[in-house]
Amino acid sequence: MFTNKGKRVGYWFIMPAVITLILLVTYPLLYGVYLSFFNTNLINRWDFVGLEHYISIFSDTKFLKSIWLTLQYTFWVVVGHFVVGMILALTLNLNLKGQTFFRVILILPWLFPEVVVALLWKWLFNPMYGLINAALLNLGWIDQPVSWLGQEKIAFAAVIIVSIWKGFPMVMMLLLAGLQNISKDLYEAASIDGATRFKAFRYVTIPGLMPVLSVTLILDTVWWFKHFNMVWILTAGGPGNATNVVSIDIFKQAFEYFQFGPASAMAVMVFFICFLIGYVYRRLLGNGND
Amino acid sequence: MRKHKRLLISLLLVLALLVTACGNGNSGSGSSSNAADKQSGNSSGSGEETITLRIISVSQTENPDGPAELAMAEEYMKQNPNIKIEFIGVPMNDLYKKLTTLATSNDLPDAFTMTPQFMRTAKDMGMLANMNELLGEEYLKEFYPNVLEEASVDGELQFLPWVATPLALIYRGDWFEEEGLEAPETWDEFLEVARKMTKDTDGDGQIDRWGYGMVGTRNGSGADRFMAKLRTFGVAEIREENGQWVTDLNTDKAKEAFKFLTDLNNVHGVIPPGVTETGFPEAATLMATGKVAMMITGPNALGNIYSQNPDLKGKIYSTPIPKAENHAATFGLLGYAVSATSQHKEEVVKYLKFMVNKENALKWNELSGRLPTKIEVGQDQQLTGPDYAGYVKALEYAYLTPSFSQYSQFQDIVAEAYQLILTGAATVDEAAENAADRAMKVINMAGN
Amino acid sequence: MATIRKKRPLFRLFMYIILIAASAMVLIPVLWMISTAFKSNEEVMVTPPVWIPENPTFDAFARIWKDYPFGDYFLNSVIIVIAATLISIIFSALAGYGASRFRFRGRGSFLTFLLITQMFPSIMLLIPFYQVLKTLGLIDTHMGLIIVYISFTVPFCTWMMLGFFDSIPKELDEAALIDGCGPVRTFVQIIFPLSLPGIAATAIYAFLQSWNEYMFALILTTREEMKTLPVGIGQLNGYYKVAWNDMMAASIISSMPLIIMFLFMQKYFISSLTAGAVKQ
Repeated sequence: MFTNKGKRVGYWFIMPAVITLILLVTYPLLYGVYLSFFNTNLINRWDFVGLEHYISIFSDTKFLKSIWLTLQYTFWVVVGHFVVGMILALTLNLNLKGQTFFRVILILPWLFPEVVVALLWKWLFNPMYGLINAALLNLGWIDQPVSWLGQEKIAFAAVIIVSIWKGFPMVMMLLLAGLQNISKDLYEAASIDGATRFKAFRYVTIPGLMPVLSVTLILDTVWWFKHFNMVWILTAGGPGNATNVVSIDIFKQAFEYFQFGPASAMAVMVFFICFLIGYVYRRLLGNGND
Repeated sequence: MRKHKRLLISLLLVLALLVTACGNGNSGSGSSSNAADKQSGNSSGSGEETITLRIISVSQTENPDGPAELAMAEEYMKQNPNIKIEFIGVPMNDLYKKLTTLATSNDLPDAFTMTPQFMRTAKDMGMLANMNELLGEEYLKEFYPNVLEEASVDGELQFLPWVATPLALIYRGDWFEEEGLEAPETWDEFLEVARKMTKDTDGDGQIDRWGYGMVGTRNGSGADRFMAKLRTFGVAEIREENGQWVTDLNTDKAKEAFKFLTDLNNVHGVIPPGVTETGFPEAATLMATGKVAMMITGPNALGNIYSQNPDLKGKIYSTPIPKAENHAATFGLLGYAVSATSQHKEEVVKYLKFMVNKENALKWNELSGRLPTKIEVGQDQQLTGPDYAGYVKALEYAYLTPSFSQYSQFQDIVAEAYQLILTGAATVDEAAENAADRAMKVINMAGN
Repeated sequence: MATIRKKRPLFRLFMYIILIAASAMVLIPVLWMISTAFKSNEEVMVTPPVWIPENPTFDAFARIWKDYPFGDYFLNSVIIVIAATLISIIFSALAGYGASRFRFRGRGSFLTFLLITQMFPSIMLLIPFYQVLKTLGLIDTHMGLIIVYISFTVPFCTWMMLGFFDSIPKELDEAALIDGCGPVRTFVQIIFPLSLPGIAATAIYAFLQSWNEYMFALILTTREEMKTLPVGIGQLNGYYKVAWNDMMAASIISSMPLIIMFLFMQKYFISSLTAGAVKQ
């Protein structure tokens, strides 16, 4: 298995994936970095400006503020995904009666396109026609329609809730699959050794899930850090700047103001932040794959 | 080991075959017709050969505009059997992205939807053919001169203006008559009628009808309306003075305008809850369901409102946007530009001329509720009812979009300002100064 | 053991309460979606909103097929997504196994590279992707979107596969090797079947990711007959109005195949399958 020849077999296994990615992804990534050094309209104007865009990004507190906001947004969304996903995965793993039924229901949010989910929630939150206000008015919990997406703090929370709603099923399913892959023997061994339920969770479940858990955590963080679609539809960054995550800034720079240089510079910064997050995670979780 | 290597290679080969096979199979009809198009596209169009014109249209994704435009194109194809028109439907929200992407790969179709907001960027990218040459000065005399100016950069026409959707105030004529109210001419009158219209109609102690359905979202739709309102206070978000670009956004007049327009919500309560999340579709629904008495919008909204609530036909009137100093309106122009790289400029221009000829323009005017751009058609247009009267008048007050290359940034600057005030995140002074700061930064950047 | 058994009924009740509460949170918006899809244009805007439409109608569903070529969109989506998912799963299962069982040079870089491809904001990748596909002559073809979706899903799928393969004891491979199996046979006949729960979860991920992707499908296709379902649904979210009932009907239709597929894949989640096999 671990002879020289055996090692080389590994290359054959990864070859198809590597070729596809090199063919498709490498150029776009380099192109994005390249753009960030130019003042360009992508066609007939290519003025090299060096690091000017990076300097101007950091000389303005606006970008830093939106990065900070994005970090907060990402933190709550990811925590939400993992807390909800973990609780439900553990519950579904108990082989209770009717679990297939619950499994199908709980996966539903994952099945709908982001555009639809965002519009649906926007409609539910609508102060005039929305279901949420209608229900709360009926119950007498509020006596005036509330503009959920029109107040800074509430809008930020609402956007997070919708993002958790949309994203938890994926984490749940992957954790569930991970749980199913853990051998029952390990639990038996643990219970023979007199381990409590909590101890079994700590010393069998968590280590068993670790490979799946760590990469899901990294990518979930990275994906939601870059998230654009749903926030754009729900609030477009408003009210004021309350939900102005960094992807919205990038989008506006690129496709509303057509300033591709600054937009790329921001994208590169996002890339670095994501890279840093990934690095820190892997350090903390002691991923043994390198 | 070697045996297995062979096995692996053959597995990969099978995969590769699978990939290519299903690729071919799937796109069989698609790619061959595509190739055929390209072939006919490259040939010079002489004689019997069919010429395919590809046109990006935002109407194609809207109803009933899309089918109507298609019918028009089919009529043209019947008259000109050697022309084949192929529409590429792209939603307005994604138009600029699509055009930019296609332009960078030199893949633009023959013609595409164009707006005054995007035309400077498009011209800068070298996307647009010179319309003055293609259409001829003589033909252009048939259009309203100020409409042509709005579609031009430095006197050069960038696209063929198809329709105008100026902004005006629409209001519930029936309710106004009931209360003996007149259409508001000034903002003070506006506030007064808005207050009278805001009331509890079913006597349950809750206000269930409001004076004004303001579009307050942070996007172009909200910003364009707000900037038109600022203009009526004599405040220009950006204007040229002695060959220099300046902004009025932090003048005392601007602060007064910001205060008055946001106080409608924050103090007077004549706007329904949730103003910052009320976009155009939401506001139109508020109007259609009788929740608000007035809104500022283009004439195309009427069709939208009537389709939601047919009972409102004859009950909605229009009038120019109220004034503090003067009336103002945007043109809301939309048209088709011809690609600089098109092989069939002559043919596509012929089709575009067909689209705006009197018969078709009138048909379109009636169907879409948008106003025509040609003088002769304007005189004959059928939309003369009280619901359209205000729009025809509004066109007189229409101001040109400032010919500033980074104008689209001003939409966001103004939108940020009113949202900050509406949510109480900033005072009027703070928001106005912040907006002016951003504006100066953009102006200075563009100056370099 | 005895104490645990005593606690069981209460514990179970508690678990059911969690499941029911979570399901309610999910179902309310979804049922609202279904209810909206069966409403007429007028009834969509009624205040206060009603749950059960007075005159339920299939108009929205009919319009989707009549007024918009959703049949074409549907077919395109099916072809593209099935091909992309299958290939992506094969590529990533191979790569995941390779990285799990062989310590070759560059292994770490390869895994890091996979993560890095996910870190650049995708909105800035639109234009270069178009250029790449144009160079390959794949604009406006199924093949073009298939390889784009493969490249989107392979990185995460590979990592998932790696995780699942890592949790299968290496002793199994070694036993197979001693029995005379080469790496390929070991992979295909022994390890692959054992990791089916993981593969099923990964496949669902890949399928969904491609099935619901909007932006790239919009930009990389031009002709009406090449558009996919999300692009069709996106068009219902108009600039001037949102066709609520049509859009909800369209998204219900577009998610049906996913629900069916998910039901079908259920059985691969049953744990006894793996547990039993590993014991041998």
